[in-house]
Amino acid sequence: MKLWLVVVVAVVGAACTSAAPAPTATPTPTFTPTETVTLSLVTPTATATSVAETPQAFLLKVLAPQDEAVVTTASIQVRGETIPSAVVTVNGQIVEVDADGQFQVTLTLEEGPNVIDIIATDEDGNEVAVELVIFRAPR
Amino acid sequence: MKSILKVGAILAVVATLAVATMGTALAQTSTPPEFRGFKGAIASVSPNGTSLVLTTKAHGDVTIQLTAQTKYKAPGLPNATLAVFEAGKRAAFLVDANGVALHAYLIPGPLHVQRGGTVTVGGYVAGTSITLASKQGDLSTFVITGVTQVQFKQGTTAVNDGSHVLVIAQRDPATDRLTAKAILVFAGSPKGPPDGAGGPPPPPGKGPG
Repeated sequence: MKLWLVVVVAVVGAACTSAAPAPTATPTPTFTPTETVTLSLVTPTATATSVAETPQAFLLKVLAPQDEAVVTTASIQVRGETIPSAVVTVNGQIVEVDADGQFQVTLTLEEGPNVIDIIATDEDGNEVAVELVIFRAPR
Repeated sequence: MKSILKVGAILAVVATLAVATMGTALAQTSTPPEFRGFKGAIASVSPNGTSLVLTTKAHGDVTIQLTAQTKYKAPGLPNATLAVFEAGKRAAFLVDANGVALHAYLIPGPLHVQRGGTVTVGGYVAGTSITLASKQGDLSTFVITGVTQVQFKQGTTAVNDGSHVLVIAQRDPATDRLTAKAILVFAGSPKGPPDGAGGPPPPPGKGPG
């Protein structure tokens, strides 16, 4: 009696391991900061170019969050990179840029769409701006 | 003993099949994300106001369903309704799995402005306004309020004609008025405009003629 129970448990356990669906369908909306937005310019009228093409360019790279991300959290961390001497504001608030040009700030989100304006200005008055829209969904 | 083993094996096969079927069913009925967000330009609004078409970069044209429960928001308009969501305007929508908008948000252009330049002659009136000339020569005037912060950087102590400043401001979408939140004053001057292009205008009464 004990033996066949052991067999059943072992076989069912193996079946569960192999038949369980891969955890790819996650109903909870999340965001993955895999996409970066990079803008750079030499003059304010220049179009976005790659950093490699313009090594002296003034750049603003948003590392997170991803534009149009849907989240359920009440706040979100904005992280980015620019030149160390730039002045950066996120929704009008000045954020500190460290010696490596990195900056980060946490923003509160309202339910629904939230527009985040990130602007960097260098000492020559060049300006680069990125607009993100982050959606906070109800839990 | 043999019969017990046989029954056990049959049960194991049945259980395996049941679990496998369940796993397949779960994989096939994977639910789509409960909510989605779209931003873009409004292409059209249906005459009865029950839907609109949004042209997005990421998803092409998307039809958004609107109901009485849809909440409308537009900066500068405390009681926004669908009426302000006109074709051509930019907007963002949080929709449920059925494409019904829970929240609609009108994007009225950048609300935050950050502009660097030099203070024009007589362009700074403490407590009232500041006018800058960008290095391209464009002029911008910002309202100064009681909460505007003036920060002196790099050893500066005052705002003068020709001072190199950076103004961080908020734009009122209804009036386009720019209100300075902070004025950062720097030493030296930014790389100026090309000779003869822009720059601070001459003081009143000192123009040519």
